[in-house]
Amino acid sequence: MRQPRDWPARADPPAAEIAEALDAAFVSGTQFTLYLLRASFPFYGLFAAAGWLARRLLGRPAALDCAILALLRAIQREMRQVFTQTMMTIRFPPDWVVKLGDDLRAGFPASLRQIADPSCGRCWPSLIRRRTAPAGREPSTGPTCLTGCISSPTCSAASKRRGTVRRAVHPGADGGTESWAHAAGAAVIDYLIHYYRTGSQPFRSLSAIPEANAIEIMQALYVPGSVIWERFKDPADYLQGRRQTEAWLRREFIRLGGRPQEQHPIYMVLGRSKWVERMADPATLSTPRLSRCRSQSWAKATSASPTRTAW
Amino acid sequence: MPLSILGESDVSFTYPDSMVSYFLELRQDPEVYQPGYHGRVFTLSQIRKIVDEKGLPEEGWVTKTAADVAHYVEAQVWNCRLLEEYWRGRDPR
Repeated sequence: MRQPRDWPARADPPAAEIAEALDAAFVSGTQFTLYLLRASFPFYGLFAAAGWLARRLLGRPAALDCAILALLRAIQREMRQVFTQTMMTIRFPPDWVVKLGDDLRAGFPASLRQIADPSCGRCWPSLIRRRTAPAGREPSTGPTCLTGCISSPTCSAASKRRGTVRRAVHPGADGGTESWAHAAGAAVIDYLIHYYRTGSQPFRSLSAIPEANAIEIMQALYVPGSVIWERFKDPADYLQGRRQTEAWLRREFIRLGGRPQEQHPIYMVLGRSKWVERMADPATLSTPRLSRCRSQSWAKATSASPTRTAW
Repeated sequence: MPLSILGESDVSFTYPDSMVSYFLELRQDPEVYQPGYHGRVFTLSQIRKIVDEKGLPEEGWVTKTAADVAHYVEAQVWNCRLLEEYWRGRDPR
């Protein structure tokens, strides 16, 4: 008998095992055809099955074989997607579920942002190499410990103070960054999200255009009964309140040391807002994939499409 | 977009939405007004400290905010060049 060390190595054992598990409930083409023939011809199903097997032995796959194979491939693909979507998840307390392929939108815990332990420092070069920053951009700043490093006494203590620490790599907009999330306790948020109306261009401001144009746009954006779009019910009143608020924002920001380069800010949300996503009609809300900041060119863009908006 | 592309002088924050925060400060209705948050503009380092300690508002902040009022920290970005550079794939810094 051959010993385990003599067995031929599998090309990609984890992937093969995952595929095997996903296909566990899947029947083969032969099994499916036999079931189909028996069900279709209850009185002479055995003869039909024998005839089909004979044709296969003679190397003559019938049109039925080709059709069944195509059908089974489609079913297999759908089953894998359904299983992956529903079962390949990680749950973080209290109710945060991350699915395979999702971004883990979390930042690094404060206790891991700076290298304090020399043994952690040794991990840093390998972390840098493993990051995949896009061309022309530095890897995102953040903590300096990876899984192997957490086994060091200092890092373990730090992670225990703040709860269990998990790592995920997500292929986000910046080409792949690393994030940490606390399984218990607050996550560190290091990103902003800009929500805007689906079909419009992001990063623009109603305040930066003439009042008549802004009012026209707001009238088009108004959706009765919508928590998000109801604010445009009385455009003139809204605009007056907004200008008053922005004057206060700018004044306070400068007082705190800010140096505004724009007269009016572009609005975003710190981290992800479940409130926005729950309250908004999904058909009218979006987040940018690739766009430019165009607060100054709003009037030109909106002259072609009166339904565009910005947050 | 990563916060790391923005500096202290590029972005400010309010809780909740800036218009709501501003008018809650003006009205000071005792049922909803919270002087620690409302009518205040936060810097990047100030908001980092708050979120590091308490998480995001939806992660357990004790507030008097009604369910139909925005329950998030709003960021105001005051430098469009940085946004544009970032979305063009260039290093904004």
